[in-house]
Amino acid sequence: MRPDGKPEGLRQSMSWLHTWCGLLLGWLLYAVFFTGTLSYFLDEINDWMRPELHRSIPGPQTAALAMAAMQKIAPDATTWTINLPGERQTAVEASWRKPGAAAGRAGTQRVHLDAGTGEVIEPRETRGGSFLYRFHFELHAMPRIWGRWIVGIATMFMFVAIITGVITHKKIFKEFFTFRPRKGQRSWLDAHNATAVLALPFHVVITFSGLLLFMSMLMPWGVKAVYDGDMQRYFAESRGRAAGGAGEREGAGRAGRAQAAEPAALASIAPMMEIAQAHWPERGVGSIVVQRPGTPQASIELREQGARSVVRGAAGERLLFDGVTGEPRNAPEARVPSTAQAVSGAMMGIHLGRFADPGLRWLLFLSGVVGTVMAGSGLVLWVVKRLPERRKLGRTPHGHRLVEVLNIGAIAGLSVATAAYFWANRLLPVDVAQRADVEIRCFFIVWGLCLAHGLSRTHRRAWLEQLWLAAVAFAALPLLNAATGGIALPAAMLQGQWSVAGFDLVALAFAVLHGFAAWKLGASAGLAAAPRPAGGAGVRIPRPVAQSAEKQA
Amino acid sequence: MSAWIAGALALPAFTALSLAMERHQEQVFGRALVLRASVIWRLAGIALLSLSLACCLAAGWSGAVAVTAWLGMLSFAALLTGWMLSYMPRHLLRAACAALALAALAFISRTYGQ
Repeated sequence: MRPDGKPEGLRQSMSWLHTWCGLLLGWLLYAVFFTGTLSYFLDEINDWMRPELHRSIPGPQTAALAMAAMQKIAPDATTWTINLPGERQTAVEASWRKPGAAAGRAGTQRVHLDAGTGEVIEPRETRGGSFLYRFHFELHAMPRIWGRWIVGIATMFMFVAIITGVITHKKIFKEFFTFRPRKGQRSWLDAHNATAVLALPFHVVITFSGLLLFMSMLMPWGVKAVYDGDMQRYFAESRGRAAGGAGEREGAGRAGRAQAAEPAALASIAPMMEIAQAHWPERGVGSIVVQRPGTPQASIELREQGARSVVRGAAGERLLFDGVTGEPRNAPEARVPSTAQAVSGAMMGIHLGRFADPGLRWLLFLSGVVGTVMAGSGLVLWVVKRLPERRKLGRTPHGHRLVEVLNIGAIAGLSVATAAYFWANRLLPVDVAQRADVEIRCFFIVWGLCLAHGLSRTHRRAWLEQLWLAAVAFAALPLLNAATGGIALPAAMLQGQWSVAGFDLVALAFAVLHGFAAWKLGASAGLAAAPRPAGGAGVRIPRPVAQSAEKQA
Repeated sequence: MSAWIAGALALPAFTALSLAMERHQEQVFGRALVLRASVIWRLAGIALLSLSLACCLAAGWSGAVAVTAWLGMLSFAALLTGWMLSYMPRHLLRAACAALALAALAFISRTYGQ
């Protein structure tokens, strides 16, 4: 929109669209990227935030101990599902369904078992990483569907921002590898471009697949027309089930129970585990599913560790045994998904990081960090780009000040709040009523305080103080973990409890990143011989020197 | 193993591609190269990238995962190349050669080691 009324080129109008889409939804998208990136390590965060589980050390007897424990806890259940410990989980997670239980999650009861003894562990009440995971697509403290709509719309704008960004970027190939440090606005632009262009495939895939995950909510018309508004039937069919049929397994379970057959003892799990281990020498067994335990029709299914393929819905490898005799049975054939299902399933699978490969998970995590830096550097760029205008004006317009404060709160404040969430998890007494909610409240209170802090301090000071605070808070997390009942980092590494050790190591890495950003920003303050006093609301204009792009990890 | 080779190949691939550009030739060699040399660098870069993709596809992943992994590796190799060009341009060629040597070693040990 040119004020002089001359027609504007495609690039200018795209640039305008990119700037304002990016700014208006940037703060939200930054938070979505940040919490979504952390969600790649959902299981690890869950483990860390339940220090009671850290003493569970898996051994060769774990499967047998878990089976024996389930025999005691839920002898009359229709199904047991036992998730064995692995790289991402240190305790056994078992769940079962009673006959006639409500469908879905509501009818499922869960328990954590010590992998070394088979005893039940009662961990503290916490939402753990699930809070961050849920926040990244449905926010908090509002009806779920609102949160999903807001994030869904923001995701659409993100897609718009990506496309307009590519059009706006004039020298996308010429400046492919270009980063010019210590050049103020230039450096910020380069950092924004580099993190956007070089990880473009990731950004496109993650945004587009995010939209696909929201597809049936954002654009329900196609499904409504074909299925006459029966969304349940659509979801059932798109997962490859016959319409109307509850999962075949549950149905079979209930039928078997209805016959109320003679009780029959389960066969020993150890020989089956050996067969499975020989089948999957690399990954081993991930979970055990027992149907109709205690009856002559009992069956035991072993699933490969992390065999969840990237195509959502496609089953991983499994072995089926007769539950009483222990003889192998033929597993039902895996369903072959159609091409359309495979493509959309693969997109969603990639978004969710649904495969075991730890290397690939790290790659996605780091790409998420790059995406977070992209969103953050774009926000900072908006401020930096307007500094000359501000100097000319001699004061800081209120709009600019607002963006500055929101940037500090959204970027540095979110890091501080996330660290505070982990601190609250350990410092709150275990028996506080509604403990999980109190933890989450701590997160939001600290975030709000950071916003207020940004308002009350000068721009540069607020950045510096919050970055240092985040660095210190993250750096102390491994110590806090060891001091409040968790397993210390060196011991965790020695015993191979990588879910806990990994969390501690990433916390240290975050501390280094924030410390580095704060140190860079402080050093650039040192370079400024005489701070330029500015008018307006006592706001000092920061020197637009690059705090390194790596800062907002 | 193939995945590691693919990752190791991505750095020399992007180094070669960057050296096909005048700006980066000046950073690394201190002068611009003749056109023919630039074309050779570009072809080498494309060849190494294709090789890296082939290694990813041979790593035992399903097609979708292999391509995703490859794109992820490319992102980081390109970021590393850009970062080295800004802060230590003289070491870029050395790092790329080291990565290439590692990839070759890994390939040899995989082919003849068993």
